[in-house]
Amino acid sequence: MKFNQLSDWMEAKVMPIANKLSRQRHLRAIRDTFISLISVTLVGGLAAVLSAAPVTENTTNGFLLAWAGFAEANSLLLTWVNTVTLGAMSLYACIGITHFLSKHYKLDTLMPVLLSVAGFVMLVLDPIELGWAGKSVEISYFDGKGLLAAIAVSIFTTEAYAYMRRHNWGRIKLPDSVPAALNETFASLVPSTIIILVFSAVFAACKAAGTTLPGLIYQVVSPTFKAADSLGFTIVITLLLHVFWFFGIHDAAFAGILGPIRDGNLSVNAAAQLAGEALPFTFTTSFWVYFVIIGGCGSVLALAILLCLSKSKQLKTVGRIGILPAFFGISEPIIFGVPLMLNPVFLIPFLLASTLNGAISFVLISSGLIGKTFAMLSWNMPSVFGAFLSTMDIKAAVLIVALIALDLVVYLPFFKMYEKSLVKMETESESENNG
Amino acid sequence: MKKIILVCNGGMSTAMLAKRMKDASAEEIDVHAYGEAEFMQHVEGASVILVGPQIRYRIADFQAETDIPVVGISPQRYGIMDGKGVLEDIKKYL
Repeated sequence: MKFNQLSDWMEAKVMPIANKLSRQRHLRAIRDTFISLISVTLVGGLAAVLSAAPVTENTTNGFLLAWAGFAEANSLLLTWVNTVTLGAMSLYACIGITHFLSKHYKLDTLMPVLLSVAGFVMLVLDPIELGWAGKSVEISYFDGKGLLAAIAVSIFTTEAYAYMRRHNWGRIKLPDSVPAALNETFASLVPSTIIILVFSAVFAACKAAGTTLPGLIYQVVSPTFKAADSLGFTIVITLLLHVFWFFGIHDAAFAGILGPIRDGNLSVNAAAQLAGEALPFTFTTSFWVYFVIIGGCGSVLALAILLCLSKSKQLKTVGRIGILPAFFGISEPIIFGVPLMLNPVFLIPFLLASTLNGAISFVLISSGLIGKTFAMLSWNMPSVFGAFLSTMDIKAAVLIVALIALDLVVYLPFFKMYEKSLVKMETESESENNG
Repeated sequence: MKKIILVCNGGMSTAMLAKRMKDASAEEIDVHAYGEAEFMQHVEGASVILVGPQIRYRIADFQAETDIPVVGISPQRYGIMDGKGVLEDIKKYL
């Protein structure tokens, strides 16, 4: 009774937060963008995996040696494919955010997208030489390091464009005989010119200061990104997201904030991997998906195994339905079926399992005992394979198996407690039916 | 043919339920699952829009954008992917 009151009260507090976060138009556009980017970043991840044949000087396996040979012979191709996909994430993010934010304003998305790309190219590319015979530019900030600049450019462009169109800046009254399409073009001329002039001014200012926009932003915020790549952040964010899930609320509300951090880190790692440099980041998208939430949020894969072996008919049914989705990282059937949602018995293990996974993985990976992630294959790739392929370190797969065993131990006592009460109820209702 | 739209965050777990609902209706009803970002493009002609419990806090917002009834899926039915049960729950909209 007490718990119900508490949970009602909490739900009344948590739901509006989730709603506010997921309604905020910029966060929403960012979140929808990162969902859409998966197909592009996947290809980049594959290229990075292909280029990282797991061979040492002592390797004799023919397949692995052939793989290494292929990777070496095609290293330019593989690096280029990665550079223009995962490694150009900021450009795609810029396009996506502009697109989704324009749709929010019910604008035709083409014009704002064109303007955003113009601004992105102007501010994120760094011209080295623009001669007649050839032009060369520096594109280092196309990867995750340029994400904040991309977000700034896309939000500024769309907001400014939407504002000016709304207030009819520079709209010329044309005779009715002028085709509507032409009328639209004229209406966008003044806003477009103003926006590009602003970009030009920003470029000139950055150049005068001897830097670029993303260079400047990165300098200012890189301490924040470094702080996010820590054990403390991993624990806090894992707990926070699981509190939301405990109320049965999807963590998507946070993706607008977390997406740029974890995807940005991943793309920087991928670039470092292909360049043969040490990988800088531990907290990436693949770290989150494969190492922290094993079986989806709540790390329910271990629990699904327990459920399948349960003496309670109800739990066994939920386990059988939920174990396959959990293997592929989808935890909703278990969360709503057991249910774990708002179930006081499972509060502790539900929060603890993923947090332990995250903390242990973070320590092992950041200390270098297990390789860092540099590829993201799919949210639904089972953790064991995902952890291996995103690091190309077989020890990562071993770690996942060990973590599933640990999650099993974490869930077991609470599962037993819950099972006992259900079995009692089931036998009582059965004997009633029989009697 | 009646049409039902299911929505969750990415359209992933609702896709499982959509399949079970379709089977439960003996393929008499067209059931589709979409992610939150895209489902509005597909709602035309739908009798009802069903929202996964994990994004139930969005129901009021969705309803503000469309005349089609927007209804939350019962978490219990969702958990065991009870397609038949969900169809029963929403009979009055069909």
